[in-house]
Amino acid sequence: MGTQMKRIYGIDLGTTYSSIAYVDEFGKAVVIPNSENERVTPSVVFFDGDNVVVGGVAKESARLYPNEVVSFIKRSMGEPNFLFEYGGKNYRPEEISAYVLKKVAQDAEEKLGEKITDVVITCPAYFGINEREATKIAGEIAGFNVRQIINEPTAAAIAYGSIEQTENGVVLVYDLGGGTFDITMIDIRPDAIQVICTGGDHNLGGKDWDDRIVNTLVQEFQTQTGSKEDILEDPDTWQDLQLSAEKSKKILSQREKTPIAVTHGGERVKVELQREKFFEVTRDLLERTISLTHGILEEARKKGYNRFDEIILVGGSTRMPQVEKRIREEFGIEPKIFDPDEAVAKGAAIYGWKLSINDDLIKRVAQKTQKTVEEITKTIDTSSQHFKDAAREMADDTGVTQTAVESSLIKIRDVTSKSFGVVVNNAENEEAVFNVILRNTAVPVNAKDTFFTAVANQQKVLIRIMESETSEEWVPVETAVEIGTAVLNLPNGLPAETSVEISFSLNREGRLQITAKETTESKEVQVLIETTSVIRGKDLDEAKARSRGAVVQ
Amino acid sequence: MDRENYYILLELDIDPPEKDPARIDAAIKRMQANWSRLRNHPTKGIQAKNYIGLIPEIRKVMSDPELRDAEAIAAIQKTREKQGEIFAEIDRHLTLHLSKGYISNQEIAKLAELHHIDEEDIRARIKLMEEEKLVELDSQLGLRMAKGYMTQEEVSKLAKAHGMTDKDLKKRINVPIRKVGSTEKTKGKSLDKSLEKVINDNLRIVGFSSLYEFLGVPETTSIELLQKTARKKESQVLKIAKKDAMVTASGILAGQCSAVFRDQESRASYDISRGRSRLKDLEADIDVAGIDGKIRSQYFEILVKTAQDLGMDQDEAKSFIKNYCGKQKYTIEGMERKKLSKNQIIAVAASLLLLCLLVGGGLVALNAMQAKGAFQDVASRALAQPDLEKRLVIYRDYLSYQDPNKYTEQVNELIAQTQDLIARNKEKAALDALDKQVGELLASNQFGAVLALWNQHLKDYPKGSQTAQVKSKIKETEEAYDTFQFKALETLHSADTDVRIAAYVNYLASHPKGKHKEEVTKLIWNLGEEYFVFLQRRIDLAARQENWGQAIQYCEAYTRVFDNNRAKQLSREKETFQKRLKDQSSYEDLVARATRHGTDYDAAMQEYNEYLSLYPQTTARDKILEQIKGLQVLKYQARINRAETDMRSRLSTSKRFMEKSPGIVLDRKTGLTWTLLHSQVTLGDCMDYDFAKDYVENLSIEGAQGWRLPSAKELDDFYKTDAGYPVDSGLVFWTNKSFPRYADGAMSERVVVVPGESGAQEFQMDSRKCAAVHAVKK
Repeated sequence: MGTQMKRIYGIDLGTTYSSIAYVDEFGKAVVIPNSENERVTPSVVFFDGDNVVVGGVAKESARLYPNEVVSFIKRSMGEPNFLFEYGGKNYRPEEISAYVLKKVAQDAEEKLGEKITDVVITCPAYFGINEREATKIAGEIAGFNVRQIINEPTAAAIAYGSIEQTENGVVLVYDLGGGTFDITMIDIRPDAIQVICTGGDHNLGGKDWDDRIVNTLVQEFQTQTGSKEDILEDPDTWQDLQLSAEKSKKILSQREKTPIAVTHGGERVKVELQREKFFEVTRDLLERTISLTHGILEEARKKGYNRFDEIILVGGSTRMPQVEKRIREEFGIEPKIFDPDEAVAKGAAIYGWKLSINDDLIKRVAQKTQKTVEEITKTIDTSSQHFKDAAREMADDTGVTQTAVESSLIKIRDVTSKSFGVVVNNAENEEAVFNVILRNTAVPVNAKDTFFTAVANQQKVLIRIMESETSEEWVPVETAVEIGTAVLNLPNGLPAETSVEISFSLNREGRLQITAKETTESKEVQVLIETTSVIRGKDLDEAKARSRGAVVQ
Repeated sequence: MDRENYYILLELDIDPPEKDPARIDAAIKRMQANWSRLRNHPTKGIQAKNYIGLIPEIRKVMSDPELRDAEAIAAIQKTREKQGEIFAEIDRHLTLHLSKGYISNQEIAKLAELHHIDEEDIRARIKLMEEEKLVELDSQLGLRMAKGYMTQEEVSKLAKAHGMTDKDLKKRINVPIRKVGSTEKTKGKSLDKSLEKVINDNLRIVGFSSLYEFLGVPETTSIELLQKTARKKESQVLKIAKKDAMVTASGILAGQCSAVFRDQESRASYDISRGRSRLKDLEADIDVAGIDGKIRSQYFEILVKTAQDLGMDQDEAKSFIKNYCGKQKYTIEGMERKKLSKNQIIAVAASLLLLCLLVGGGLVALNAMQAKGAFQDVASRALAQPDLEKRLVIYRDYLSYQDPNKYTEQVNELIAQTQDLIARNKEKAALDALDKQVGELLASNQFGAVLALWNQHLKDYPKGSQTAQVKSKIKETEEAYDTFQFKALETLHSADTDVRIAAYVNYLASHPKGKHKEEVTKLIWNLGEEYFVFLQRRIDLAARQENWGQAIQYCEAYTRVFDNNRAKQLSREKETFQKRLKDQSSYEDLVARATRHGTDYDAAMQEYNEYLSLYPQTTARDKILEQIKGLQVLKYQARINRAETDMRSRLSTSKRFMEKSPGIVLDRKTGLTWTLLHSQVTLGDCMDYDFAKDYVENLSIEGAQGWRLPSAKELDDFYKTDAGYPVDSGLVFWTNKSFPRYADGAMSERVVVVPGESGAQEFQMDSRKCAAVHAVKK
């Protein structure tokens, strides 16, 4: 092997487990085990004095130090008012997630003896602007150059497409993870992976199944002891039951029943949990995934996709046998369980690999054509002779086969899981959100629309940028979330109904850029959405400084 | 639902209200950390999320002095209301104690301790309650009258409980009073308790009391409507982007609605659970009544009344209270002495029935001795004759020779008996023969044939003596046949789904009342999905082969047997196929019509285009477009052929030009080869310079490549000098000659040649303009 490409790692930052992968010299995506030699690391952070412990040890510590341990932080990503307090300091979800990222990367560095700088991090397709931004910032706090945030189902589809040499096919990715559920329809072709539409619920995942077991155990404890105490008030008991619940859920995926001990306040109760019971108390959760799936099929039909060829199951929670059974029952098709724990990290790694090949190719083409990298990036044309030559050279230099290099040029097209619009007055002169970009539109996308000022001599236009979940053009303000605002100052003396052009541009990663233009004088304002839901400014700098100094174990 | 009060939520002092911003801020931070910690709690998580979401609003209210003061006032009011709720509970407990006619000081003291209030407050409540008693009575009556009638039992109970006579009470009743009123209740399974808790916790967050209320429908709503409403609710919730605690809880509840209202049984479980949960108050009341380990009999009556208020009937109420007391080890006054009397079982001796056999008296012979002699003779002869037919002849002879006498009737009787005997014997003989035949048939499992034989026999002997027996044999056979066929079905496990379905359906048809009807129906039902998938594959195949008739048959195969969502789906597919079938035949007609136009491709294309404009939705659209494309190619080919033929005839007299291979012309004068036709003819259009260059480079005629643009001179020679190449005037041709590029390199001037009578003209033209190409090579 001659020159070395810059490696870009893929990280699956999960609600319950995280993992990291890279593409090895044979072009194969490989998950890197952590220092405990496990392929997935619990996304649990334990603040132990000056140390921060992440992973299995942290998870086990929850029993003993429930108030020093944070789990399921991904569910709070993008929530502005979530604060974890420890030792007089407040930690935002981004910073806690950064510790998880640091841990998986640090362990991988040790295994490979190589510094990790560039990463691709995955997030649920269903994440909105705020949650995505928070994920990216988490990566930055951890000290990485976050090359891209990509959707988990898309990553899974990339991994699937790289292994299964299937013909063209429409695949439904049913991704039930630890904390989130994503359902995505993807068209996989040899030369392109195209997301058709996506939906889900980022508050629906394996943890909810665990919670139902916890509830059952509490109930059983009360029945057997005759006590009416809410034993979950006790943090130790809560954590203990939470861990037992997760374990018994896994056992029930294999066996018909499992014994569980509930210990609280010196009393010990033995509960035998039957699989049947487990199914009963979680039936509604499973039904919700089915409803969401039908929703997506409905959307897909509108886009002309009336059927799909395969359902692939990813995410650890799809190991529960009832999931597979229910899907078979509902859709009359045998679902494929595909590498549930690792597909996402591997897909991210393949994506990163593709990015680094692209980087390298562009550099080579730039050298050949005496142009700058920026120029080449702008007018990228992979079918040109320069590109072919560069690919051949690169294959010679790096030892990666030319076909592999060329195959990395496969096109990946994603869609936005949310609609974006602005608050305007509708025909009835009531405030409503008008969506400029509708959900499930392919990204990147540019869209613009013209709006009009309300009164003569209007000085300012307040643009309220809203995120919503429907594919309808008009939605009520109260069902949408405000993700940012911008002010367009107008010149004096404009008549009423002066037109204002608002352009939305949404990039591949789901980052939104807004331009507003007053048409009479062509006054233009560029607005980068400043979300309030993520850590910023002084807080961010402090978090970064803390992270640099922190030792993660 | 009114919102949380922030003073109460932040656990701040309200009397006097806390106003120190620093302390308020500290309280907010403390609670924020606390709620964040509980964010993933299995039961408190959503509530915590709700509170976290409130923080900006809390900060706003608590930092504005005016809003904050209003908040403090609201907090005081709320606390008072809360106390009111406590009093409601105290009242219930007081009712219990007062039912015996008085309340002791000791009891008052205990209640005060239990509710953490002053004894004086309790005394004040007692006074108030006396006045409210009648109001309470009316509300209890209202509950019972709601069903449209009251039972005498209920009237007596209520009267007793309120210390009134039945008569006085009845004055307040405006519905009929019935004697017997206890209706039977179905006992079902209640919902899992932990699920019930999940539902109730989330209902509390959204501020509803039941899933019915959550869906906004009455409790009497049909299950179908409930399911529909639940689905609607689910999609409504999904559309809300603001995923706050309310929406999260609503999502969970909508999911629960789908699960709980999935069928009647599960809905009933939920209803039962709701009823049971109301019993918790009752249990709490029993605990109060049993405050000293003993339930007075007056208390017991009141507890029963409370339980009845909750909808139990009297027996249920009593047994519930007794059970609970037993569990809690409370003794019920009066119960321990009162032994339940056992029902004495009286054995009834069966009486014996005596049967009297009546013996008919002998006949009295008087004067007709002769007749008697003849009759005796006939009788003895007949008895001696074993052949019954012949015996009949003897009897009939007697009747024809003797005048009617007193024996005539007897003989007629004998004839009838004999005839009957003959018929029986015949039937018996037939049955014997049949039995033998049946035995053989059954040995080879030919149940159908056996049944046919039995049924024929019944027809042959409609009044036979063995009819009952035969019918029972038929029944037996049918059952055996049923079992046999059912067993046969069991062997079909590994058969193809269609074979199995056919067999099952056949079974049901041949055994409409079969023993295994239910099982087989279930088997069919279970195969619904599998059969669907099985057929779907075949349908797909048929559709790929465009065998729509076959596809329709497959759809019908399913819908004949099933009436489910899949059937609906297939009915819809069938409609599509029918349309396709129809479209296919009209497409075939169309092709036939178009073909009749022969080489008039334009007319044929017009046929297709007209059809498309008439039936833009036709499923044959793609095929029609394909046809049109084919015709365009043919048309093009025809045009080229014509042009070639034309050119060849023009060149036939030329000594200079020779077509050395099809489409390629050799210029003997210059030695250059040219294409037979120039681009204006072959493409029917001119092109810009860049295109022209690509065109000649990629040009291949009969495998010959390496074409290039001619120079101006070559073109001029070719067309002009010495009996030049035939050309239509006015054409402009690109040459390979160019002038220097413009500075920006975007365009260049190119030289073109216009052949004409007086020599070719050369001039410059913008390379983006349009001209023809006549390709040349060495």
